[in-house]
Amino acid sequence: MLRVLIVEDNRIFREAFKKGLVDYFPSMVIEEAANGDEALQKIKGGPPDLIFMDIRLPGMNGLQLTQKVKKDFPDINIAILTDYDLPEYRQAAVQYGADRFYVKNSLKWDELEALVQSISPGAP
Amino acid sequence: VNIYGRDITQRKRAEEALRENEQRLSRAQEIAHLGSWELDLITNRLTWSDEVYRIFGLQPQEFGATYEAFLEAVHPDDRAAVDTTYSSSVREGRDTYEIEHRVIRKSTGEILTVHERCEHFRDVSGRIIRSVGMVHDITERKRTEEALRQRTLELQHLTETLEQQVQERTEELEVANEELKVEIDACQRVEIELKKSESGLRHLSLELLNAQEKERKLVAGEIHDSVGSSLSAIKFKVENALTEVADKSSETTAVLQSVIPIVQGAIDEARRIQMNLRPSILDDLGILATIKWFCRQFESTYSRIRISQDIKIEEHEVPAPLKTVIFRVLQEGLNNVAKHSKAKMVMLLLRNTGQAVQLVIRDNGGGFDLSQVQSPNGTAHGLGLTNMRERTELSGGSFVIESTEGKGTTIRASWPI
Repeated sequence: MLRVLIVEDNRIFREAFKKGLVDYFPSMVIEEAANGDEALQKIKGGPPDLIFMDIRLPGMNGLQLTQKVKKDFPDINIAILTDYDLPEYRQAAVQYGADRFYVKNSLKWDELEALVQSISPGAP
Repeated sequence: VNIYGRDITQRKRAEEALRENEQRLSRAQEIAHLGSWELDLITNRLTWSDEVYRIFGLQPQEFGATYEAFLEAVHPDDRAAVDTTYSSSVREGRDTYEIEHRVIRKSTGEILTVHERCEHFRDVSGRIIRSVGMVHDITERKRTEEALRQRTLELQHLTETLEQQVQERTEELEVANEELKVEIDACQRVEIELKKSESGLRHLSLELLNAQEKERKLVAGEIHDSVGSSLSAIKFKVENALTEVADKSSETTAVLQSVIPIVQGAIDEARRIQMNLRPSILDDLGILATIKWFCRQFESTYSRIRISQDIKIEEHEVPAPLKTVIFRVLQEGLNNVAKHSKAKMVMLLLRNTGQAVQLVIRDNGGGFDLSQVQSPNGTAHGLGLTNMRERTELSGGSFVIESTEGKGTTIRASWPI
């Protein structure tokens, strides 16, 4: 059972992405957060295995949040999920400690499956 | 025959000496224009020296002097006064008197002025028996005195005129000075108003730029958060739906597949609009990443131009409010290069000098005549330069541009830190 947290301020995308994940990974337990504070609260309540992290968030941005979470919870996998497929963003994601980098409008399910398998081998 | 003889040599000598003295005295009186007279009141005999005759316009000793002849020579207007003065001095028993009066020279009719002084001598009983006087022709002295008096009067008049002119001029100057003070005050007020107005305009420009940037950020954010994210959600859902469709060759599948590039096009367009308004990378990653991104975009759009980047500053060394300004100046500067310079190479430098953050944009293009471009009726190029200068100066920096026709252009914007 893979615990996932989606940190995304846009409700429509967040819900669509959640539904897609649930449909693709039925055993996945998914929580949502619309901003950094909410995300930190949920993480402290029970650290997830994987976080999908948007960069543009109200208040603390996704990169700063990634750095903060990684400092306290280095085992959590963090995948940046952004609109901007730019080398500067990819480089920044690495610098701030993210493990993966995905572009929202070119998500590939096989890549997500490979990610899930790398964290939780054999997960449905 | 008795012959009596007497030696009279001594007497002759004495007489000779007396005559010589009399001649000497007469000559001295002539030179000094000073005559003398003597009146024996017992015999009523009046004697004048030769000079008295000459003063009165008569031949010396031409007739026996009389008091009447004397009075006749006196100017008619002074005659009574002269007579009264002499008579009263005798009557009142005074020892001396003095008087100035005019005489008319009989020979020429010329009017002279004389000064008379008289001294009375008395007998043992105290009775005045003899009057001795002198007549001094003071006409020349009087003329000189009169001329002096006239000259003094003229000088006095001139002085008064000058003083009056000075006074008038001083008053005119005071009026002019007052008017000037009023004008200076007015000018100072205008200057203060202008400064206030200028300061107000600068403040307004700054507010306008800030408001514009804020608005751009807001609209860009809205496009990203609502339109962009919703389009991404639509695309994600459509792609998910496609994975769930069993019949890959159905019409529904074809319709769904045809929607994907349309949505992707809309996503790209929304992102383009958003990045043009305000690149999110500036807020997400900072100015250094933004410069790299913008230069790459620029080189991709204008493939004939290469940019050499020399970044000698850390992200945290750039004050946050300057990041937007630096980006906008860079954006405007590179756009100018692309539109006007015909350059093939741009050297971009951003550095921390220790005292300032300095941005230098140097191109190898055609350059231009600064005075022409920056004239009031200048071109869009000039407007771009004005925008850069205004943004730099309103954010506390200084802006310098150097350009030589045929030798390229260098822009230096610097902000103290």
